[in-house]
Amino acid sequence: MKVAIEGCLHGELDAVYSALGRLGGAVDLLLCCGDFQSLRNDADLDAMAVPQKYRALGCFWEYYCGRKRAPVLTIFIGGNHEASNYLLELFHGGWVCENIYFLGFAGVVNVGGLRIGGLSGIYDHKHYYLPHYERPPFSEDTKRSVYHVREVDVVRLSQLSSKLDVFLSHDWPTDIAFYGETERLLQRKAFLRREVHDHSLGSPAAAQLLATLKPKYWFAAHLHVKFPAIVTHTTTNSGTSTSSTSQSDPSTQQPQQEKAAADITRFLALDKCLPRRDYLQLLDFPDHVFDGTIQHDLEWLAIVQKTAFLLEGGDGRRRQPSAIDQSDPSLFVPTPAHIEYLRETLPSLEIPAANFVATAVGYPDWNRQAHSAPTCTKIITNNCCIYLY
Amino acid sequence: MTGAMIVDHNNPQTVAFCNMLGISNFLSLGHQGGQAQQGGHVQQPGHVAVNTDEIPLDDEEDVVPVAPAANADEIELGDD
Repeated sequence: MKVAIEGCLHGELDAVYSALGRLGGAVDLLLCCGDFQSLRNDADLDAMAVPQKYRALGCFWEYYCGRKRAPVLTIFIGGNHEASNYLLELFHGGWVCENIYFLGFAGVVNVGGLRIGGLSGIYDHKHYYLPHYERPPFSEDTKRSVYHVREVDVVRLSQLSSKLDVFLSHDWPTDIAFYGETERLLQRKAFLRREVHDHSLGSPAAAQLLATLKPKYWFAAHLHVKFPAIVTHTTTNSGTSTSSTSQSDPSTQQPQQEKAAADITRFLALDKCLPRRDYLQLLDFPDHVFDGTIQHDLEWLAIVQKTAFLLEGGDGRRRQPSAIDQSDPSLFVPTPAHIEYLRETLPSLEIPAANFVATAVGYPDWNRQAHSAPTCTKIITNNCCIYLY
Repeated sequence: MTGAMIVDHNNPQTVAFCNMLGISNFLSLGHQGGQAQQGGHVQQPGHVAVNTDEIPLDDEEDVVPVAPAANADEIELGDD
């Protein structure tokens, strides 16, 4: 199976698909690491946090309306420039249009047996322990906090026991800069130096997941630079898991006799989609055969089922329920019997593309409708309009 | 279809997913929430924070602006 990975998309679907087309149809699956900008109409623009000069509809609406079809099965996570209203509708994941699938605020799926997990958004400690309280229409504050990573999603992903092949995040795991050519990175992005060296660059939530999940590949974006790294996870005889850099630092190395097993994560951050930038990477997974479908992941479904109550309640000012007990990080690990029960009871694991349902009018129909009903502002729903009329 | 609707808390895909697992669709439970807690994120003057909400979307004409950041949400870091 041939997989293409893209960094920040920023609405440049046409350009990325065009680039893939020049490869002669050799790619089966496209993974996008956020800032996808699935903007359907002008109303969605109001839900996206973005500087005014970059406020543009892009071309996604043409795919949403069916004028164009994604030529390659595409899976993406959210970043910090998104139609957050639309992504919130699909919190657990779903098709945003034909052949393009949002992985959810946190999620795991399988394509051709390739197990792909992801975490949407970026880390900000101000909102990390809060529930997902944001609802449209967003204020200037909630327009940003809505995409901040939450502990509840990190805890849910941390329950995964079976190995992931690929993990997607938008921002980088904290300290990942030390696992590659740090100085080369800082030559290209000198303004990162201070935060690299005071260990404040990146997401501690992602770093926690990296150490816990140890996926074979981890792809990220956000900083608009290509950066590869290799993380060696070392499990000691005492059972604790650490990560060691490929750039040897003797003071941080575990004694050889303590090493019982080592897993490696190959990390790659990619740039945004612009000419002459490193925004695309191709990978071949010869052990996997693309079958054109996306499948639910049984272990993840069991975790979602077991942790659903954690998502309920909360008024936005309080911490998540104390049910999240960091002293027992595997509190919600599903039992084999639970997973087997789901295997036997669910009719199918396939997520049919036919599940896609348009829930809003795409541009330009939306534009015409908005102009024909000037008393309806962008933030008033049709349902509200029905009540008002 | 909901015209100019901003969001559908009952997106059929989400409803179907929740029904499949027998879980509630927390999005439709109606808690609107309030403002998040503020404070606690203090930046030093002149320090360019990278863990921000607005990493540069710059095109290639934009060259490392790096203005001192008093507000983490309003920073542009520039590109090469």
